[in-house]
Amino acid sequence: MEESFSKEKGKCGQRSAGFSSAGEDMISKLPDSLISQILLCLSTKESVRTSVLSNRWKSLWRLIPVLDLASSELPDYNAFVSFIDSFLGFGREDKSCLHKLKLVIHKCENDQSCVTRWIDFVATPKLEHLHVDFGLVSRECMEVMPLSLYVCETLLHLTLNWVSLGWFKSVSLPRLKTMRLESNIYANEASLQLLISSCPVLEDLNIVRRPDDNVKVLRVHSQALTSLSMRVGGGHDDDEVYIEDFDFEDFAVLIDAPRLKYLTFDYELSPSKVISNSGSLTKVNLLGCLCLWDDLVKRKFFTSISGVKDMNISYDTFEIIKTIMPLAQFCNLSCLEAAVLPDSLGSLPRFLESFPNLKSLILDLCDCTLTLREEIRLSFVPQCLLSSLGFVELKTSCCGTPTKMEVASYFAKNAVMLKKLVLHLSMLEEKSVVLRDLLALPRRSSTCQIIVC
Amino acid sequence: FHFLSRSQSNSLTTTRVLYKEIHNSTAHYFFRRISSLKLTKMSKKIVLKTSDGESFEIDDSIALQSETIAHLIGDDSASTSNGFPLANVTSNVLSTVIEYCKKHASVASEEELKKWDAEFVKVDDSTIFDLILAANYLNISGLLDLTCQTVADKIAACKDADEIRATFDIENDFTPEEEEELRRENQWSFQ
Repeated sequence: MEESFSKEKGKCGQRSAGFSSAGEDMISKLPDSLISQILLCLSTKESVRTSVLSNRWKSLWRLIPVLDLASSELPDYNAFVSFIDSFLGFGREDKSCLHKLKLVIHKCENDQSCVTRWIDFVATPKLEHLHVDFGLVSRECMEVMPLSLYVCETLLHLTLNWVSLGWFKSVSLPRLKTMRLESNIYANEASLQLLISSCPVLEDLNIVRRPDDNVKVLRVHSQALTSLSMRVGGGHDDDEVYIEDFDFEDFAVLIDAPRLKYLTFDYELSPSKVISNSGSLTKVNLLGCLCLWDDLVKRKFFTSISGVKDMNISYDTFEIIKTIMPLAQFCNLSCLEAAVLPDSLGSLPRFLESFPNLKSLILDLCDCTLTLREEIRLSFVPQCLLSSLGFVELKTSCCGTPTKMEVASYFAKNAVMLKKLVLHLSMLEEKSVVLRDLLALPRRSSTCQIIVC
Repeated sequence: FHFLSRSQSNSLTTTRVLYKEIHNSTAHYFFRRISSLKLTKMSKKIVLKTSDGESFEIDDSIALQSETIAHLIGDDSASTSNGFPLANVTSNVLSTVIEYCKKHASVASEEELKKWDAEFVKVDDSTIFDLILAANYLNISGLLDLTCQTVADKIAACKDADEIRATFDIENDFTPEEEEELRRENQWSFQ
């Protein structure tokens, strides 16, 4: 009798159509390893919920080798700490066998530091992913990473945001493939350099720096690195670190990575950027502010990247290039995306002369709320328009129509090999009118297709 | 006289040509390997025997998606004259697994495969669990990930434990006090 009562209790909820037509509890019959595999697809919070399903499920969630938790998911920081302590400490005689630990922690000044002991506990023997993110936290509250982190033999992916990487003597991360460091404080330049160069198979490095991180000259020396992205961010309000007021004069970035293919500078504010052994470089993004002031430095920099196939530049970078024109020849470049201020359009034809084999060009004509000082007249025709340029896209959603038409007609009139010309229109412009004018343009290439969107 | 013999192994596209020429009383053997681009890849057929006695003959390119079978192929002692025995897989399940492997061995875009996978898992509960067990036994990682994700999605779609129990027919064998205690322990996850 008791049996039938509890069975009824279990089936009191609404039945989802179709799934449990067999009426048999097949999921609970799966071996622990497969239930664990299923629970791996859920967030830690969702898998903890399964503890109340039945006795079989009571502790299954503890077997999952992944802990992915944000302190905001628990009612307060202390609850967060005690949950993790109990999860990591449960039923394991020796060290935890976690594959992945991801913690997003928001804490206040008075909260205890716990990350160090957790990392110490999980750093061996099977940890593959470590992600520690404190979000916006003031410099005083930053936790110092334990030494066990730097000798974690199995680690593949490491993300450290808003922490303090103290002083360490040796680094042994033989499997580390990707590393992301955001707004951290380092002991000094040498320690950051050591961390990067000691990872023999590091492929992907993404650094967001802050001006007060104790690193002025950053040397990125890496044999295996193929992708590098660098940016400058800010600090917490309490730290009062304002990029606008900071003096970056002595800052430099020295890159020596012979296998580097992809490079992105996105507001990298060091006035000295030197790239050696750039033979493998294929794609470069120079976004935001490039901050190179000295002409010699500029020329050397652009010469060192002149072998790339694909480049994306911001309008600030275009302005910098203008000051050292004619630019070095980029003979391999086939795809270019460039943002250009309307007043600088006059320099566009001479600029394109540096890309004799350009096939595809995307132009972002930006900030056209500024009225032009004088009408632009594009007359000079660079080599690429005569021989290789096949695709032009004008992203001009905020630009005035006369400027757009001038640029569009310049390409239509002069590009011998042009196959497609794409024009983006803003909501206010009359598509039909613009299209009619465009189609009336004289075209050098007989196979040219004009597309308006 | 010339004696020409040709032997071709499963995936090799080379042809071993053997010439034997008799010069006076000396035999010269010349071996020449000709790489022939015109020859299409000859795929070898693998025979699998299910627990209920049925035999399935499939291309090795499809069978090799199962790491278990790949190891069996490498180990000569594993095959019998009837093919490789799969003790834990019935014919129903194996034919569904083969359907998956065939699609994933074919040329298709990632998008197309995703759409096909979404349709593929629209089956009844017992089939999904049979597929999980088979994918695990045969060690086909793509199929295991897909089926586990499907079950996980169903768990995530339930709004509470009662609904999960109803969906999967899990019997609640806690006393009300035990359940209350558990809910209190991890209260935050139920909010």
